[in-house]
Amino acid sequence: MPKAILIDTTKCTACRGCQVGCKEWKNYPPVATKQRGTHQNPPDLGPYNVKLVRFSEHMESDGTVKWYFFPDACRHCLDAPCKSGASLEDSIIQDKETGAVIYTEKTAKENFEAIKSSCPYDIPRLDPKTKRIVKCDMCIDRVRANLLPMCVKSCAMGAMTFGERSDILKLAATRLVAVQKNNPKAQLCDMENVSIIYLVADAPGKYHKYAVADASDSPGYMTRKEMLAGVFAPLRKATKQLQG
Amino acid sequence: MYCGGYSPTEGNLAKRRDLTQTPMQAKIHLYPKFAWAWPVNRRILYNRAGVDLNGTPYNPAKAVIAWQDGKWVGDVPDGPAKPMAQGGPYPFIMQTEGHGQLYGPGREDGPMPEHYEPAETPLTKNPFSSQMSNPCMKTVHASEYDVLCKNGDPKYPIVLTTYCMTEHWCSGSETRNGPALLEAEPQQYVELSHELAKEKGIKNGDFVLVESLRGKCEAVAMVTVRIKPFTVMGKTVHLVGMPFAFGWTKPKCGDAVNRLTTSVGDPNTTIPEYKACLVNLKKIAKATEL
Ligand code: SF4
Ligand code: SF4
Ligand code: SF4
Repeated sequence: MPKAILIDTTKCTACRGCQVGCKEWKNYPPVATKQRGTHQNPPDLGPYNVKLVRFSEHMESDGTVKWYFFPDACRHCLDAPCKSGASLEDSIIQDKETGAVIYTEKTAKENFEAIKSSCPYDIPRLDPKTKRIVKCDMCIDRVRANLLPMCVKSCAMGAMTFGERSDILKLAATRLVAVQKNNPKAQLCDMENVSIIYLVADAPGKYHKYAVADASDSPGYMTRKEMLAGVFAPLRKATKQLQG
Repeated sequence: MYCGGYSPTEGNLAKRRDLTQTPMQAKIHLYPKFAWAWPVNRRILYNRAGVDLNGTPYNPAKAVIAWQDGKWVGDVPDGPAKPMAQGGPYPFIMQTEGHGQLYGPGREDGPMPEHYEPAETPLTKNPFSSQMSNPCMKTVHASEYDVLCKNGDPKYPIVLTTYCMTEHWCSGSETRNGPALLEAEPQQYVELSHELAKEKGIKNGDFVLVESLRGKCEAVAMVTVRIKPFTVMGKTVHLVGMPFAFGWTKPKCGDAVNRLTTSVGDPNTTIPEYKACLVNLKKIAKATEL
């Protein structure tokens, strides 16, 4: 049965337990960082940071301050656009059991730019040492051993819930109704197309440029837009039909 | 210490999220089945002080506890005794006389709460009292660093507050050795408002030198909407904030903010007044500590 994770950003305190927990579990080396006037550090996802908590703050017109946190990582798209950027059959595979999109060691033979620019969420990164393309693997090793993904496990706020896709969709719908009461703009980001579903309380763009797969302002935008139109469209149709 | 927090039947009681309550409990927002309170899940201390000699609440609309049909209802009674008319003790069971106290014996100051300004203040007059700062505060006079600004010192007009952060524990002397934590919070910073940044010509990410009468400390400017200038008695007072998780033992992550703070303690426990002191700051082109 496919799995999913609900990331309820309204419960996230930006403790970065997930960011550090992920990197510790993967045994990634530390990255030298500098304070640059923000808590978001490292500045971006990288080969040794496949999970990154993004910070954004806004002064609203009524004088209230909004501080938004977005624990960013691969969405494990149901029909992954990044796969279409690959030339080899088995460099990017999808685990049948969980739906996890896995980058294998064969990604070292792929064109990194082609794969990166085909991801609507700007996720893939290149490991300069191994030449492999790197991203979150849904902690497939842990999940197969009946353990929670490390980021979910380390979230003391309960902002992340891992489970069967059908259960997570129900939970997501319930939480959306609750959050929408005080936040009319709340939404579930690209729920029909992804396994990692973000609940945001405000316009997704106020959290992160690539919070949703809006291709209009993506870097490799034509490619992405085409990808999205091409890959997500049949899927949307299918979901619509399913919903009747 | 937390004996009783795990029950053989219910497991970890602190994990309970049951919001059920009686109508009486609802009136005071008491949720006895949500989480757990040491030692016996009593939520309000000395709660028998809220009832008369017969156990009838003084304020029935907001009753914490009441004696009904030979037992207490509402909160768990503090001291499981009968009402005083039936021989129960005074409600303040941890005090020798059983009475509430405005002024505990052996305390250095009191009895009534008072607003004092910190030992260093940007004000020249305390609007709430003729006494500017606590006359009983503990001060240290051991070295040339144990000095305080005069009230409203124009050389140091900015208020500094200090705090800890999630990524480092306390002064950070241990956690700064954890590479993943240092990666997430690598260097000393100073949070300041956009207004102050503009006044001082500082941009987000610039190096800043923060100075007090006692010392200097370099930091990276974090210009944020989360800090806003105050208006106090008609005057704009700027606040800046710095964490106390950095220090010289880890090179290039910045020095300790305690180079700026005062050596002043509260009258009873000498808990240091690190939450407020006076500083000034300026942009610097190059940093040596960062
Ligand atoms: S988020 Fe990007 S990298 Fe992850 S599966 Fe989707 S397209 Fe691929
Ligand atoms: S699922 Fe695992 S690899 Fe992916 S972000 Fe969470 S901890 Fe990191
Ligand atoms: S561990 Fe949870 S609360 Fe902490 S940053 Fe990650 S999602 Fe947010």
